[in-house]
Amino acid sequence: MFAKLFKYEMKATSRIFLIAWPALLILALLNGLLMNTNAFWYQPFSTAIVQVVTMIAFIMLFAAVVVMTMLVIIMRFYKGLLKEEGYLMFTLPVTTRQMITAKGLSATVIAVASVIVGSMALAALAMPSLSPHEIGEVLIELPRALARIDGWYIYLTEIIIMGIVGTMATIYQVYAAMSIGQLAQKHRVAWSFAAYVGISILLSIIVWVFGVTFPIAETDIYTYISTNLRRGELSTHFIIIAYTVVQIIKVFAFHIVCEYILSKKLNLE
Amino acid sequence: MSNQLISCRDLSKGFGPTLALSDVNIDVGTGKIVGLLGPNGAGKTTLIKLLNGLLQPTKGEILIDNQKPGVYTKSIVSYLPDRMYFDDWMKVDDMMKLFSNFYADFDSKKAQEMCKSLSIDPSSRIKTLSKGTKEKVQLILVMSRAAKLYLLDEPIAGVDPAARDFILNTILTNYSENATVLISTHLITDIERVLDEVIFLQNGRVILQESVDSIREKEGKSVDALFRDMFKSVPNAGGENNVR
Amino acid sequence: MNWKLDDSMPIWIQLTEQITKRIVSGVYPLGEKLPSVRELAADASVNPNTMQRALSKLDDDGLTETNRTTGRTVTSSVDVVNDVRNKMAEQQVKRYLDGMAQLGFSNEQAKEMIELGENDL
Repeated sequence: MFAKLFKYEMKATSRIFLIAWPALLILALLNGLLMNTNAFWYQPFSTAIVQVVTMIAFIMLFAAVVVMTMLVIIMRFYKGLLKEEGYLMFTLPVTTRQMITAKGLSATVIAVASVIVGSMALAALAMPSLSPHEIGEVLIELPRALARIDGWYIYLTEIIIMGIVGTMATIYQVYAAMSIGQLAQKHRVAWSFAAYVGISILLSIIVWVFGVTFPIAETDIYTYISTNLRRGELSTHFIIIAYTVVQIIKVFAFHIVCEYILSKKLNLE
Repeated sequence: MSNQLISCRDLSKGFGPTLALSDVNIDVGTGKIVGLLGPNGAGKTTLIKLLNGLLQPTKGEILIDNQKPGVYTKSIVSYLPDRMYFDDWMKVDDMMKLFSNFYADFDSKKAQEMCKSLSIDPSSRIKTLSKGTKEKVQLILVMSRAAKLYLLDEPIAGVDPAARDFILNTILTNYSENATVLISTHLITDIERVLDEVIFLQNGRVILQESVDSIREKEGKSVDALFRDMFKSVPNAGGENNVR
Repeated sequence: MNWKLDDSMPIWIQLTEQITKRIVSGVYPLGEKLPSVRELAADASVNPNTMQRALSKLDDDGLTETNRTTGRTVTSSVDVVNDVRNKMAEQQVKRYLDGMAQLGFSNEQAKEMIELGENDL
């Protein structure tokens, strides 16, 4: 059942992006090829206009993809579960847990994909203006710079995982806020916003309290490090992993909030 | 263990300070067409939502086929809400594929035939259909499932006579001894001949649960007449002139 | 098919009566297979259990026979049908005569009115 739900979510959310993403990449490439920064001011007016227009189009499409990503993620949950469509979704023979997870996972996939496509678009923007010589230089220098950092690939993996889980945590925070908003009788959207802000504040307070009450933790870490490996390196890994774990805890906590509210306190209008 | 399809014991549901349903005790068997009747606000929709799992009881117990509302009961209950629940951008056959995917008891062929007989093009987007046609599509989807319990919330209110006949006809031709249809409505005249038994609700309480024949024999009047008599003093009691 | 039903009386009794009329008048001929319970119920827009009860009465009265494989058929016995027809006719006559008596007509006068009435048909 879960696989079916996930597939259904992916199909429904990716429709619009399968047009927008390629469009963005093509527009980026186009811009990159047209751009010729050195000779910009010496071009005939007509070509300059074309460049400016395509650049504006690119910026607009880029902004659109960013907004669309956020909107789609929010709307799939809000409209899909808390409004009329909820009458259909909550009477399907699936558990609330499966429903939330399917939405959360597909939203994360879309968000991450958008980030990747966005980055590729920016790269496509820059690349054509570089000469083959410059590109060659980058391709040689980059591995060398990375190699100077020991175990750079470990860092990279950790950072990627951290990014993905961090995105998931943000998405789930939005879901939890909307679920809390659903508890209200009126002005549910306003309450959802308030809940989101409230949760953020709560999290900040927790972090602050933790930092204030556990300054010793750092001392322990350094004690550990000085008796073991090189100073500084382990703490960097530790920080990244700790942050990632915190994000995972947030995902679970928010999921539990959503599941509790949507299975026990659901009240569709 | 009850051999009844639906079994409610001391069921109550409150929303904040208001009690929408209190101390509901009913049993409904299988192979029946039951009318859930009552004025607006009596608690009919609340009871239906408790039966299909959209609401949780505040007190008491519900059993459907001896199970509490959950994944199993959702797989044997086919629900027609009193509103549209589509994602507008979907096409009719997208919805059919969805139902086919998630409900093992969905009969695609039957749904397609019903669409054809109503001249509904399955490849059309739901957004483009008229309100009446959308309602028919929803009915087709719900009735094309071989469920054990059909919950129809106000299926004939605000619907033209031809469509109403179609709905009642569909309910009758789909009848099975292994299934029960629970229809909630405040329009009794149009529907009473189709019913085996009725449950009257008022202010969240069950006033009466009786077989229709027994009412006609004992009271010598139609169910509609009895209803009007019982709810005489209540404004907004049932009737065709009532605004929904 | 036209079904005239009154909601203030049990429906199944009225259904039995109307189907009986169809059988005795030959609308459903002797030995003819009747439509299924569900079809008849949908046609009359009544509950299938109600229709089932009405049809069972017909079985009890001997006007129909139910066989697991062939379904429900009108009896092939002319005698049974004529018997029922005659009984119903007697009731009609009694009803007529009672009605005319209420208007002050004697049975003889009531008979004359029939002959006059026939000329108008």
